[in-house]
Amino acid sequence: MEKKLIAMIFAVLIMLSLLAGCSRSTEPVNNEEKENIPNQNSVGETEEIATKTSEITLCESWGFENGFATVITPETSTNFGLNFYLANFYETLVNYEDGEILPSLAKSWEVSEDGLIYTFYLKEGVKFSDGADFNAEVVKKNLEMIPRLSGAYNGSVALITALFKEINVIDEYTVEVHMSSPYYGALHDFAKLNPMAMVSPNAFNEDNTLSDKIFTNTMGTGPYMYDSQSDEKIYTFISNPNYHGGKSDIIKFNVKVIPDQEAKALALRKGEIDMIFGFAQISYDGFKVFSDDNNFGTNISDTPIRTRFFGFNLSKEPFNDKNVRLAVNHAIDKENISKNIFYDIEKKADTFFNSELPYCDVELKPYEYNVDKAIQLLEQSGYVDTDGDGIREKDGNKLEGELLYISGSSVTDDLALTVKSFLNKIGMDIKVTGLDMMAWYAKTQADEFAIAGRETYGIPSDPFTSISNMNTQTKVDNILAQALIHLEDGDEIINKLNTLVKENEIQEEYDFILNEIHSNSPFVPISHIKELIVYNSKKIDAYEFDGQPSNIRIDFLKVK
Amino acid sequence: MTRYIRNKFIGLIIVLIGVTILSFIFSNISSVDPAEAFARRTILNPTTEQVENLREEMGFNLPVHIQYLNWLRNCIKGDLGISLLTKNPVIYDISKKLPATLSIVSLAFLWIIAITLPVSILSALSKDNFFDHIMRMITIIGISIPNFWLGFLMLVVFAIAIPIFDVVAYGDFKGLILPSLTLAIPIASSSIRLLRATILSNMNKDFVIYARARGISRNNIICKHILKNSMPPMVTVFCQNIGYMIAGSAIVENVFSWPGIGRHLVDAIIARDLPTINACVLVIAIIFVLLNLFADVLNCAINPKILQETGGF
Repeated sequence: MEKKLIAMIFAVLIMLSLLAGCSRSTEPVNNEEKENIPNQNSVGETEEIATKTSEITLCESWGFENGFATVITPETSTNFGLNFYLANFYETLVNYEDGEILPSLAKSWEVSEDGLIYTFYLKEGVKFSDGADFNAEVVKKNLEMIPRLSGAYNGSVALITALFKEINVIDEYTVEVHMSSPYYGALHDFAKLNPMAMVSPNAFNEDNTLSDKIFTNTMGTGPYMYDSQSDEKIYTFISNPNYHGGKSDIIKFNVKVIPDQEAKALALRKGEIDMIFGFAQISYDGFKVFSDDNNFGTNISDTPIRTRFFGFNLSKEPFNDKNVRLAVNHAIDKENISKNIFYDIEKKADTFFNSELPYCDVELKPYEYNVDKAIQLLEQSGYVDTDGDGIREKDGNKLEGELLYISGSSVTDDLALTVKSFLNKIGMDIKVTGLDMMAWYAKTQADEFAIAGRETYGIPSDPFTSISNMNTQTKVDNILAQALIHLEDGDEIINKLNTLVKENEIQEEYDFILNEIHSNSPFVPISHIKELIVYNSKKIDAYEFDGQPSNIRIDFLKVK
Repeated sequence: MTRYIRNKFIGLIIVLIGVTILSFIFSNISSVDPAEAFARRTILNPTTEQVENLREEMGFNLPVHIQYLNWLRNCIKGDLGISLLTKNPVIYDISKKLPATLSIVSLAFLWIIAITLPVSILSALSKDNFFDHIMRMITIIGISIPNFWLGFLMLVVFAIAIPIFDVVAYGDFKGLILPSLTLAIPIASSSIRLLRATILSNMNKDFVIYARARGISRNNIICKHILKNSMPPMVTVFCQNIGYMIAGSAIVENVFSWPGIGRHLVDAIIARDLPTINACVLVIAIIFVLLNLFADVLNCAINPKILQETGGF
C-alpha cells in the first residue's frame, strides 16, 4: 500500500511539473498598461495594419526585459544590447554617417566660435509614437534629464552630457545648448542614441525620474514602436503611425530569443526566422555557408565598425622593449589571417584606427610581414637562442609572455593560436589563455597580462572616446592607457585635444598622436571588423547598412 | 520510519548549509569583482570610483562571512536578493525559469525509465548475443556523445532534414520531446549498463536458484525477484540523475533555446551575478537532497531490511 502511494505521488509530481513547463499563453502581455498611454495606437488599428503588411522575424540572444530606456547605465538597465535596436524607435538631433555629421531631428545647427554654444534648428511637425509633439521644450527636457538619468555615469557614455551648463529655448523650434567647456567630439556625442536619443516628455515623471511606462513602451520618433511580448519569448514591434519619415517595406517585426549561434543558423535555414544580423550572432563559417547558398542573401557593411588588435603591457618585460613590439608587428602575417580565419570578411588592418574615421586619415607606413626583419629587430635587442630550444633569451630571461583573449568564439580561439605559431617562428614562446569577458577585464585592469587581444569600442566612440581613454589618469581602460604611456606629457596632450575647437589644430594633434602610436607600437592592429547580415532571399531583397553599421535598421530592409 | 526521515532531514540541512558556504567561498575566490563585472556589462568605461561606489552599494565590500550571514538571514526570511543581471527579485526569476527545466527533466526521466528497464532486461537475458552486442555499442556511443552535439544532431535530423519539429519550440509539449531525449540518452545509456550488470550479478544469487527449484516461471523470477533486488541501486541512481539533469541542463537549454534554470545559472556565472548564483545553487541543492531522501525512502519501502540495518525502527 505504502509503495503504491509513493509511486502515485511520484507520478503526479512528474505530470504536474510537465504541465507547469508546458503552460502556454498566446495573449500579449502588458496590454493593460499600454491602454493607459495617451494617444497610443488602438488595438483595432494595430490589427488592421497587421493584415496588409509584410512581417519579418529576426533573432537575438537576449530579451527586452529591461525595457526601452535610452540612457543605458547600470542604474537604468542591465542590457547594453538594446543599443543596437534603438535606431528603430528613437532618433537623435544629428546623425553620424561615413565620418560626417548629418541632420536628423535637427535640420541644421550652428556652433559658436569658442565651441561653447550649440544652436539646433529643429524639424517641424514631428510627433512621438505616443502622439506628443517634438519641439524645443522637449529637447530641453531631454537634455536636462539625460545627465540626471546617467547619475554616477554621467559623461561615461557620451562625454558631452557632463559638459552641459544651460539649455535655452529660443523659440518653438530652436534650442541653444551652452557648455562649460568646448569638446571637439560634441556633435558625434549628439549622434549617440545611447544616451542622446530624444524621448517623449511622457516618459518622464513630474519628479524628474523615468516613468515605468518605458519598460513596456518605446516612446520615440523613430519608424517603429513596441507592441507586445508573448510567453514564448517573442517580442513584436509595429510601425509608428506618427513617423515623419518615408514608409518602409516592413511594418511589423518580431524578435525571437535564440541564445545559441548554431541554433540561430538552423532556425534561419528552417524558415523560423528571416534574418540574422550582426557579426557576433553568426560564425564566419556559418556566414560562408549561407553566402554560397542561393536561398539566402548576405551583405557585409562597406564601413568597418571596429579594429581587432593585440595590446602589449609596456611596463613588463619583454614587451617594454620597442624592438620586441615591432618584431611582433612584422612577424604576424595579417593577409594570411584575414584570408584563412576571417574568410576576407575582415580585411587586414595596417593602422590602429581605420582611415575612414574622422581625423584618422593620417599617412602611416604599414609594418609589412617580414620574418627576417622581425628576427633582426630581436637580435638588435640582444635576444638570441643560446640553448638551442628554439626560444630566444636575453640575460638568462626567455622571450616569453602570456596572451590573454576573450574566449567563446572559434574566430578568437583560432586567431590566438595562429598568432602564437607566428611568434614561435621568431623564437618567442607565447602561452595562450582564453578567459570569459569578466575574468579578462579583471586580469587586464590588474595589469596581469603581457599581450591582450581585443577590439576597439567601435563607431561612433572611435576615435573620440578611445583617444580620451588613453589618458592614464582615468584608469578606465588599462590596454588603451598603454598608447601614450611612453610620453611624459601623454595625458596633457589628450586633455588638450578634448578642448580644441579649430579643425586644423585638432587634425595636427591627431597627426601627432596617431604617428606616436604607430611608431611606438603599443598595439598590433590585426583586422577591421565589418557588420554582417544573412537573410532569407525569398522574403528579403536587400539590406542597406546604417551609417553606424551596428544599428539594426528594419526600415532599411527591402522585401520581395 | 519517522525517526529515519527526521534524521535524514537533519543531515540534509547540514548538507545545504555546507553547499551554500562552498558556493559563497568559490564565488569570492574568483578573480572577478562582481561590482566591476556589473558596471562593465552595461557601460563602456566605468571609472574606479564608479566601480567602488557600486561595490559598496551591493555590499560586496563586506567580509565574506558577514556577506554569508546576511544572505542566510535574508534567506530564512524568504528573500534571496535582487539579481544583478535582471534587476528582478532572484526568487521571481527562478520561479519563472524552474518550471521550464523541470518539464524537460521530468520527461527525460520518463524516457530514461521507459528505455532503461526493457533494454537492460533484454540485454541481460540475451547476454553476449547479437542484441546485447548491439546495445553495448549503442550505449557506449550514447555515453560518449556530448550533449550539445547530440542536440544539434537531433535538430539537423528532426527539424531540418525531416521537418517534424521546430528549431525554437518553447512552450508546447511537442517542443519538449527533442530536448528531453537529448538529456535522457546519455543517462539512459549508462543506466542500461548498470542495470544490466546488476541483473546479471543477481541471476547467480541463491534466491534465483531456489526460485527455479520451486518451479517459478522465468518471467516471474525476473520481474518479481531479480528486478526487485536490482532496483535499490537503480532508484538511487535515477533520483541522483534528476538532480544532475537539473544542474546540467544548461547546454541542452541553450541548444533548444529553452529558458530554464540551467541557462539562467550559466548566464549568472558569466555575469558574476552572485545573488542569482547562490540562490540557484541553493535551489538545485534542495532539489538534489530531497530527491536523495526520496530515493532512500523508496528503497526502504522496496526493501525494509535497510531500516533494520540502519536502526531506523
